[in-house]
Order: sequence, then C-alpha cells, then structure tokens
Amino acid sequence: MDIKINYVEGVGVISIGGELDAQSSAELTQFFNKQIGESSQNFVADLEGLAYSSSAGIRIFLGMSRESRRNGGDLRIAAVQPQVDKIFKLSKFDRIVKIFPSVDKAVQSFKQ
Amino acid sequence: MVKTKKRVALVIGSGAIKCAASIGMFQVLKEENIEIDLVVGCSGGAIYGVGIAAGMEPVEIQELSDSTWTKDLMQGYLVNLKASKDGTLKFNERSGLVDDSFLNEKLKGIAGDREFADLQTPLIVVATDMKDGEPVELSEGDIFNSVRASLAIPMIFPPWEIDGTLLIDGAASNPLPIDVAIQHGADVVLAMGFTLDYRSKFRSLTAVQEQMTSIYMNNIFKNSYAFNNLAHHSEIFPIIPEFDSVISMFDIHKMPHIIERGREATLEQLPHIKRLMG
Repeated sequence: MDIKINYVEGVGVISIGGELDAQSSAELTQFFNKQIGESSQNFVADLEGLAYSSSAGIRIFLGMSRESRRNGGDLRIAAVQPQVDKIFKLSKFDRIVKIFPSVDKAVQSFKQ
Repeated sequence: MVKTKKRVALVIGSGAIKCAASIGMFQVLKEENIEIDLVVGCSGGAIYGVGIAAGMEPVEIQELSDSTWTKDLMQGYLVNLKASKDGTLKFNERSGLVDDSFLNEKLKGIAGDREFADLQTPLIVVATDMKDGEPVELSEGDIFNSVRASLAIPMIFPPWEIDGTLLIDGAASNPLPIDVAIQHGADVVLAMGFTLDYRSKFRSLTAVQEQMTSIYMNNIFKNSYAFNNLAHHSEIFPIIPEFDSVISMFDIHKMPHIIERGREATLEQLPHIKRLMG
C-alpha cells in the first residue's frame, strides 16, 4: 500500500494507493495518527489509487473520521473506485462521511 | 497462548432460490482447499448450509436444489389469497397462504433424518420468534424442523413450532447472520448475502406490498451488515452475487446462471481471502 500526504489550501490530502485490508490497515492508522497531531485537522482521503478496501479498511476510515471530528475537523473522501464504492455503500459508510468525486471538490467543500 | 489458525465461518443469508449461488461459492472454496469451521444459514440459505455442513459435493447440492424450487411449493396460494380477502379464510398467527405439505416433503428429502450432531461441520440455523421478533439460533436436534422454521416466509408458509416457540423466517430478524458467526468465534467470515429486487411498475396492492417488503428487508440487510462490520475484530468478506435480471422464486432454468454468479462473486474476493489466510 502506498500512502502519502500533501497539503492543498490547508487541507491534508492523504493519497492511498493499492489495497487496504487487515494487514495493511495498521500502516495507514500509524501514518494518520502522526498527521493528526501535527497540522491541519481537515483531511481528504484521495482514493483514486485504492483498488480494494476490506471490512477492516472501512473500520480504519471510520476511525480516521472520528479522530478528525474529535479534533474539530473532518475527514472527507474523494475519487472512490467502483470496487471500493460497493463496500462503502454496503457498509453504509457513505452515510457517515462526505464523499466527493474529486480531490478538488472535497478540498473546496471545507470552504463552504 | 497465541492463537494461530484462523477460524472460518461461512454465512449464507436469506434469498430463496438465489441462495443456490452458494453452490458456486462452495465449489471455489473446495477447489482452493479453504476449510470451513462453521456454517450459518438463514431461510433459503439454511437449505444450502445443510448440504455444505453435511459434506455433500456441490453437484449433489445442486441436484437437491433443482428439485426444491418447483411451483408446487406454492400449492394453494392463489385460492387462499382470494379466500383471505373475501373473509372465507380466517387467518391467525399459525396461518399461511400456502399448503406447506410440499415444502415439508422437500425439506425432509434434503435434511433426511439428520440431526445437527451428525453433520461434519457445525451448523447454526437462524429463525425468528413470532412473538417478539427476536432472532433465534437453532443448532441442536432435528435439522428438518430448524430449516422448516427458518423458511417460514411470513404469511406465505405457516410458522413452525419448536419446543413451544412459534418461529418464522430468519430473514425477518437477521437476513445475513454475520453476528452469529462472530459470536461463535469466527475470525474470517465469508458472508454470502442477497438483496431483494425492486419493482419499476406497480399495478396492484400486492406489487406495492412487495416493494415495501424489499425496502424494509434491504435496509435491515445493510444496517445489520454495517453494524457487524464495525463490531468484528477481523475480516468479513461480503460475497454479494450480482444478477443481470430479476430472479423469481421458481426460475429453475436460471440455476446455472445463479451458481455462476456465486462463483464469480467468490473469485472476486478470493485473492483477498487467500492473502488473509496466509
């Protein structure tokens, strides 16, 4: 799994590529926990490169969302691929977090 | 003590004839030598759960499946529906619109004289308590009674009494009983579930009722999946076959298509399952 972060207009855009499951989810949690204490409390998870998320992956995203909100910010999701979108909808994850078609739209949503 | 072997549960949710997709799933699991430690079945899924837990070959389960979903299952439906509307058929909590003798005969053909203790793999069948709507786990004694209770589609098939409790379709409370697998110690849950089809045209009261049932049931399905997904410590692999067209209860001619879709949905998850299993 590939994870990186860059900042766009003060929003931390976390790009996640590859596959997210029980084994790789610890890496994402660790990465996110480092970011949350350091800078912006608003994040966008860019999932354009994420081909698969397991049930454990959904739990990680929910954890990230909870932590962001606890710190007064939010986690928003962008560019979800069809396979991942299916599991998001089945898990009703799309009812808990805001999902946008592109990173740009997700970043702009923080201004509204 | 460190636990090493992952305990795998196969959950087959409600879905009538669509549950035959579990034959395709079972074929793949056998080909890949993925061992199952627990089977959980609900409603139509309970029928296939019996076959899998009994150690039948997929082809044997398919033969039983082919002989199950025939139109005589609905014997008396139209006459009784009319009679219930004009008041000549008095309905109570033990009633159904269908003469269930055919269903019982078919289920006895599948379950035989087997008891749960005779099965190669532990099986839990889920039904619903008619009195309070709570899900009920059945895993002891005679298999026929448990599967019959789990299949008691409300108002269609009469409820079934076990040990003084009147039971109806497991789908009414727990259409994809992943929680049962979790509670019984499963690490990896392979969950095959089915949503109900929505209608596009409404020309009768029955059509509207069916649509409402689909809405209720599909929301129960998704809400319980979402909750179980959050609650579990390891992986739940949702194996949700997708069908090109509406599958009705007696579409036996679509059986190969249903089984193939079950295979495809399982193969989609297979690399991830194998990776987790190491």
